[in-house]
Amino acid sequence: CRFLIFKGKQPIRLSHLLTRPAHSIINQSFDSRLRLDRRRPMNGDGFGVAYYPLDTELSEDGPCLFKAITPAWNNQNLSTLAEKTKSDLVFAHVRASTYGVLSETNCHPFTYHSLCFMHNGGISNFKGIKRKLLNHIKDEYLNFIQGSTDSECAFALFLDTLDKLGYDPKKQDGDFGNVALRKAMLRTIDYIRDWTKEANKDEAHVEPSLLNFAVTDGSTVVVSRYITSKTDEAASLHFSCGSSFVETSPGEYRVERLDRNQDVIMVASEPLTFERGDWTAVPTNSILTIKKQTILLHPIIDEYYQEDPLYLRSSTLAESKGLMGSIPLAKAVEKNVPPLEREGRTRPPTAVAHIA
Amino acid sequence: MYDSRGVALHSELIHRWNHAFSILSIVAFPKKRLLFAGSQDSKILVFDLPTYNLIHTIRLGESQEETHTRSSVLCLTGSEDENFLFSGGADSLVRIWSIGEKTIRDDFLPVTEIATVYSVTDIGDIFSLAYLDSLETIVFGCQNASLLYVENLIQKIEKKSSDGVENINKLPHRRYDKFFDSLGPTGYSSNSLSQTSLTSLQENCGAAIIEVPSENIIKYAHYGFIYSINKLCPRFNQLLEKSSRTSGAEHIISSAGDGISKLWEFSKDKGQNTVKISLINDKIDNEDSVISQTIEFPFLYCGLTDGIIKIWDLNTQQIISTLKTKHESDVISISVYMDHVFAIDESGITHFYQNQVNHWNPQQGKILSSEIFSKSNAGSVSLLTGGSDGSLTLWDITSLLSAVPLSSNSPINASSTLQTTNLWAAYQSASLNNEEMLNTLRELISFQTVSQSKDTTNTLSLRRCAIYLQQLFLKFGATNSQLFPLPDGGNPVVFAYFQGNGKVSQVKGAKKKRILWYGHYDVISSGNTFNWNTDPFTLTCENGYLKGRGVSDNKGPLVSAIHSVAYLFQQGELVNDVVFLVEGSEEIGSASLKQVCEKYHDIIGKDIDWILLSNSTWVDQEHPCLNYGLRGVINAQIKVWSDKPDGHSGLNGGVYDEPMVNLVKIVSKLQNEQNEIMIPNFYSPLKDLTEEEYQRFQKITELANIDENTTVQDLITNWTKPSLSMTTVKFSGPGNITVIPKSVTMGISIRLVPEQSVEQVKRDLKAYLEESFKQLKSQNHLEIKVLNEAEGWLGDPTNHAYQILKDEITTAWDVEPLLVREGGSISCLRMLERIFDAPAVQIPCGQSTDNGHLANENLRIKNWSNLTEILSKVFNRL
Repeated sequence: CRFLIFKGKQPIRLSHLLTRPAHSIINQSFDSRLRLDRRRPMNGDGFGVAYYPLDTELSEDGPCLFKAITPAWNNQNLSTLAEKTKSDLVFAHVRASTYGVLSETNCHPFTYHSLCFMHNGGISNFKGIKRKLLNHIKDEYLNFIQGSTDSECAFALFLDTLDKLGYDPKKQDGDFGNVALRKAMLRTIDYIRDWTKEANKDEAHVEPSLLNFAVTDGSTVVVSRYITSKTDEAASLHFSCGSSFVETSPGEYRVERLDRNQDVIMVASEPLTFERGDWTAVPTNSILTIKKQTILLHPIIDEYYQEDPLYLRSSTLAESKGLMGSIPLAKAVEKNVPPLEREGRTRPPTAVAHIA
Repeated sequence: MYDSRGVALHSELIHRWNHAFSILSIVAFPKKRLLFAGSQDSKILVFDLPTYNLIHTIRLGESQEETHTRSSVLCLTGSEDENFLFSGGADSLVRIWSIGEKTIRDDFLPVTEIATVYSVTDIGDIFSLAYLDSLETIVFGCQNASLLYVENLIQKIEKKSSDGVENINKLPHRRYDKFFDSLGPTGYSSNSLSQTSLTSLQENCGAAIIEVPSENIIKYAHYGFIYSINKLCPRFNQLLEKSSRTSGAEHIISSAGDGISKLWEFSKDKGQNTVKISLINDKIDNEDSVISQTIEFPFLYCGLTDGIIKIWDLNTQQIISTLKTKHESDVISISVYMDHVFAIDESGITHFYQNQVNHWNPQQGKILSSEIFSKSNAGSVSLLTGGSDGSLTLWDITSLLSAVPLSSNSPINASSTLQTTNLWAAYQSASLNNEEMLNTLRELISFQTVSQSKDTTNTLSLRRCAIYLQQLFLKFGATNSQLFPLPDGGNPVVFAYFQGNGKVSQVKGAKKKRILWYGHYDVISSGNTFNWNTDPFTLTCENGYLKGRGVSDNKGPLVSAIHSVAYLFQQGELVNDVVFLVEGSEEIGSASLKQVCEKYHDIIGKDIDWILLSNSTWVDQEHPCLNYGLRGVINAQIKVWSDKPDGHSGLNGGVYDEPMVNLVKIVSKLQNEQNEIMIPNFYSPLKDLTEEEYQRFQKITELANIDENTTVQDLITNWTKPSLSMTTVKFSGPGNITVIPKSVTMGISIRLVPEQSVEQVKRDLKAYLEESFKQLKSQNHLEIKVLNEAEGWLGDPTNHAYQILKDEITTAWDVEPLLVREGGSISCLRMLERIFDAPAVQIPCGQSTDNGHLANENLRIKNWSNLTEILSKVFNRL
């Protein structure tokens, strides 16, 4: 799966995010270079877009939602709507199913009144904790679940957690505040972590859970990048912010970064532009918050947190799934600059050979 | 802003440069007369200040010809000696340049890139930089909320370059990214970059490449982008408590998108060649993203979103003031010079000074950067702004700064780093001679410490004055001096302690005493300056008198006390321990002083023997006095209001109970026809005047040169009898004679004598008024509010301290002092006595004509120097 979040001071035409850029979410759905799961090359199992309308009357009680089970790049309606719709808060998702059947009810994002949620990754051994999760939540959230995915259950758990923190998830205008949403997100992650740990305690080798969650109430956005492993890398997540998102030539975009204004903020599984400097990786096991137009970053400190900033998380998991399949082309970028040997940014031997 | 002739003042545009891309960062090297401007297209433009010429362009990255925007220069800073320039930016790299001397003949400036600092973590953009010269440490703040630093930088660079050219194949030049440098399954490749030839790589391999080690990365130093880092002046150390000072440490303040401003300390690790960082304080919470920040010591100015600027006192971590720009957009950049605040937002430049706001738009698109510097020789001050349209403008703001007369403690020609020097001189010898004391007093008077005013400038002055005093105490060698913050955020209390170092008298039973001197540094507003013959905030010495606001109340007497103690201490002759407690809220009722005294009781001392103060004047112009009694006071408001709106006497008259009528009826019962106060129990605690006191008063009427008609009875009434005055009446409505006000409030001021208990009188007053009101059976409501209060005070004029003072005053003036009481009040006096369980002695300094609180406040220099003389004896003899 892949997701993209846009939050702007000014509204943006959805096509600038979804259809036009060379590496838009549509293109991402069949060219996901950072995808962990290489068993299927395509994110073709449906897509969904949620956007909050500019009209305050319309934005009441949640976003507009558009889902389809056809591959995103083949959807004529999406192209037309994206061209003719503007919004300042957009959640978009393309799906490669790992759990659950191909159905619109299984497509992200999921919405509940003002809240909107999506997930990239998967809960390890979900079968082992499903009953526990469903028993834990209140009936109204149990009945809210329509599909069969781990992600939707995670959303129901989030709603229940928010509820139990003393906030009413049915609140029409949202506005729970960044502290409440972050707290509910962290607690949701805590539950899943503890329950899976419990369920897996007799297993010899356990695959970690990859929990990149995104949630918004229409004003604040909270996104996690999290893995239940101290040594493996989480599913990729990047953010970019600047004063505007501009098309420099057809299909090519870049984020204009003039000053400290974060007028345009994007968070995405894969960068949307090819300009390296535009994007920064969200650190593994941390939580990113967009409060008004400001990005905040908080660590998720538990047994999977790495104190050492230089600790190199292993991409073995990713490699075992065929992540390193693409052939790199060596390019000298700039003189007097160091390599970024993190997150796979090592120069492969082939590239050195090429230069030599 | 207007000058005295009403002519609008503005800053003058000196020069404007144009560049094709936005100017994102600026730094000035005033000594080398250079300006550096970092641009969006990966360049640093170097301008020659005297000629305004662009003399050099530094290009970042490999593209010597091609324009690219990958390495936007987001921040610039320099070393103090101006030999090194540091840049940080969108390419996640800190680059270090050595800047040579410009050749005069051909404007050639030798600039060499000597090092690149990088981290293998994905830190994102570098928004902020600071260089700590004494530790050779570069600190930078990043987009991924981490703070990184590299110590012993110059040493590392030298070592690396002496190692010779490293193997070209090992040179970590290139970055590979699994996303950006790959071809996707679709064969779509990222836009091509020009291949760099090996030769150009080789040309540049002289520059050192330094990786930030793991232990120098502070992950989540904030929870947001670290937009600003500022270095604190090295003497900041002195503000810290002695126990927490680290020698040779440097300090920075970092501020971020999470709204927190944090104070960090960098210091050399013991025995090792490394520098360690520690978080000292993270209590400053701006509650909104801090976009920009600057420091004019001791104040921190934070530019936030929505045009808000918060000013903090770094000493106490308290917020002092909040300013707001009209446009209410993000404060992108902020520069401060001598309390003049220049805030940059979308709409242009907003200049704040003394509650005046001046705004102009320099027409450069959106301004992104600003810097203030003064040309060392010319005495002019310039503001430099860089815009999104690529323009860089230089403004002469000298006239703006001088539009308002600057007080003498902030000379206009000082550069921003020099201006606090007068606060930070090292050890100073104290002297009892008038010239030395005058210098101190001149400084003190120049701080416009008006505590009643909410004006930002006054608030800043009060803080500055407190720090000036604290530093003065330290310069004089005080064993300890610190500021006690007030719980309500008010002006701090200055505390100082001089440990007695003289020989304690050999007389049997003699023991070292601990004496507390109480004073205050706040003053009453000067009022209309037209009524003054001299500038109220410039100390003027004329015809044997000191003139200026505060000379008599209370800065003059305070200087006497400080100098006499400091002098004794420096001579090694201070027998007793002396502590100073100097507050900044006396004129507004010392509301929090009690809490401060309780909280810091241990530091001030449990074993205070005497409390001394000099906060009143003689009864006439000729006779020195000693004061042993003050009346107490209760200032209260009595409010009566109706639920109905303001009425009309024609339409509503007689229909219902009128608040004014109710009020008049109840207050009329406060006094009877003989002007006796009718509050129950009011007179019962009063004691008869002793024969001894009567004699004293009689002597005063005989000797003192007071109004001939003043009788002993007048003195008795004024000094030893309580009184009740009705002082103000306020009512709602337009004040038209036919309007019945909805609400009416009367102010009363009750003066009490020491025998009366404030609490008892308050209770009785309330009960009495409420009972009177009840009898009216009115539909209206009554509220009684006590605005402030003070207990009466009666010292024992026969005790040891009074005897010694009497002796010393007699020696100094050649006449015995009159023992007097006073009708006025000092709110904290009885409180101090009670907390410290020590008797107080009040020593009047000036004459009855001092005009405290009025225009033309003055103090006779003879009174002043005699007080110093007297005190220098008394502090040892007690």
